[in-house]
Amino acid sequence: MEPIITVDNVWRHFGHQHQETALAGIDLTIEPGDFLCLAGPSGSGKTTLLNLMGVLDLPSQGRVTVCSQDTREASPRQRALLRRHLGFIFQAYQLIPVLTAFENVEYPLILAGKGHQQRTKLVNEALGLVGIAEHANKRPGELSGGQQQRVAVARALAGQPPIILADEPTGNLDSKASASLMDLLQRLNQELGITLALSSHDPKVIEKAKRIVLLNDGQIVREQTPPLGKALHP
Amino acid sequence: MPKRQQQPLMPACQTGATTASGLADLSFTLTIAFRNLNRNLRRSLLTISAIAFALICLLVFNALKNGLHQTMVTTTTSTDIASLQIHGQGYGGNLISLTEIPQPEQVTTALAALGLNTFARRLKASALLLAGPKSAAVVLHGIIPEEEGRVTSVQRQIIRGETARGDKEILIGAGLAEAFALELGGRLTIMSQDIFGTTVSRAFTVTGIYRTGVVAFDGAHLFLPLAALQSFLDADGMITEIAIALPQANQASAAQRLGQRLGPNYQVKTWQEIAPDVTQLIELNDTTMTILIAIVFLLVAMGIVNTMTTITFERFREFGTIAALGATPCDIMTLVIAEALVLGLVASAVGSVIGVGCCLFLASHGIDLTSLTSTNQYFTNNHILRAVLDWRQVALTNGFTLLTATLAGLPPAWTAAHQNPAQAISHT
Repeated sequence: MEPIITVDNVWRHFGHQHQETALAGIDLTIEPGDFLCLAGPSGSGKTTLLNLMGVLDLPSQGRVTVCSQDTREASPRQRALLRRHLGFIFQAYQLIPVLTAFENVEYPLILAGKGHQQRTKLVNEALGLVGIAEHANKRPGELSGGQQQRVAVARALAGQPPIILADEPTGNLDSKASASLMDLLQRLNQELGITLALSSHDPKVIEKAKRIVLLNDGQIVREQTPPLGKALHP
Repeated sequence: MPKRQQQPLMPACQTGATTASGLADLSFTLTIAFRNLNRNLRRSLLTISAIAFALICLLVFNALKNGLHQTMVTTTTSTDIASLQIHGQGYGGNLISLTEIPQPEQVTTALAALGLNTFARRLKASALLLAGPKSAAVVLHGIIPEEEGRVTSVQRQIIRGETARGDKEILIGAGLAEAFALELGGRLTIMSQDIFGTTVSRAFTVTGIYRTGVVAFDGAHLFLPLAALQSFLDADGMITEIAIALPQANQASAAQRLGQRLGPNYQVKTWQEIAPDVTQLIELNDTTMTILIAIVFLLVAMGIVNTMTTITFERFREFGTIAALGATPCDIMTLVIAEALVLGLVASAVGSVIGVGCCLFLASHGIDLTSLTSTNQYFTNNHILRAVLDWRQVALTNGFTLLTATLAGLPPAWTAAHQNPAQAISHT
């Protein structure tokens, strides 16, 4: 089966004269059904790599291919359309505060041009799947952090994307909510075959993944499968 | 959680299956816009108040300007000039010499044929008024009171006595009466030149005093019967001017048709041609108002740009998230512009209601400018300035407000739509 995302010798520089190197020659492939975790300390390049895979940013050198499309060759509009094939979960939930949980989940479906009936069905399914259906009419401000992150998961799921990218999804959650969310993500991968790529430096999160890619100073140090062992210590 | 073997929840990549939604669902966009404006209600209300206040000012200023112009035109046309005037060819716009209208009966026949029945025949001449030790240059109007009363207002503005009907009777303005200390029954002498250039003089008795309110006119114009002036100037049957009253909208076409019908021996002029100073003053006012409107709209635009830029800056992360969800730059621009447009719409509604209310109040009550303006009136006959509401102007002003709001929303919308989503999401 064709990979969903291919990262081919990717570099990412920041700063005025590209003096900061966030990623240095990354090669990575994500196959359908993967549950991949980018692990590593702060500043290792996890978020930068996820942003590139999520078409939120472009590489300085190298190629990122998402759904067979080279992201650097796509126009801003084409990149936006490409992002509609991806589900995102952010550390800070990033829900739209003026929208209810239902509307937050519905928003990407509206952007994708889906009809009202189809939207309602998909949103209800997604909210039910993450166990937050009873809070559908509440705004983010009325929900706990764990509940907000579940809404964010539902938003990522609702459009039935081939892959969900999650950047430190448990970073703002307490240990109980964090464990609950990871159980949910693991079940989504195992039972529904949803491809997941997430970043974290939390061992409890990392050990749930099928593949662990350890990053340090913008480079892949090693790749392994659980048990975790000393994966966090390059 | 049921496992979906047959129909997997997550399909493989199908890039061809996703199409651009173009403008994302409009009602959803407007819902977000309304709710976002409610997020910082005080700031939104301040912006709306500023726009609405500007709109109110423009509506009221425009309505007062309309009222002033209407008064100026009414005063100009109803005091003496009327809507159209016919003169003989060679008439130079002054009374240095009498220019006769040839065959006035043919002119009145032509007027009747064109349905222009509200006209007044006149003989006008310059003269010198002598009363006691005082003298003044004046204009004599030989009129038929019944005809003149249908065309201009002087015959209805007699404040004492009555119009002149006899050979030696005369109607004078209040300004002259005061300057020469003349009362009803008072006597004055008029000196002029007859059509042969011979100096003639005659004593007249004041039978009436009028007051138009236009000081310059009241101090220099005297009215006497047409036949009396013709006799005085030895100008039997002579007419030098025919004034015609018409609705404003019909004037230009009537002047053109009349000119074509009468031929080259006659001059047909509209009041705008006869009183270019009034026309120019109106044009000057209109230009000034246009500049004022442009300045006000510029300020409105700056206010909206400021508000929308602040809103955009505060919500950088949110726009990054929306971009991550698949919003195209066009979708994000639509979202920001929709908020600017909603600001403009609410402000337009509030401004229009209050502005129209103010205009209607000023239309019925007016503003008394007596203490603010000179008593030496030239273009208008009263100091009460009343608003005249023009619904086309209301619609146009609202249209410009919405257009300004939309255009002012463009720069922040562009900024929001063209940021790097990754940087926007991490923006603090």
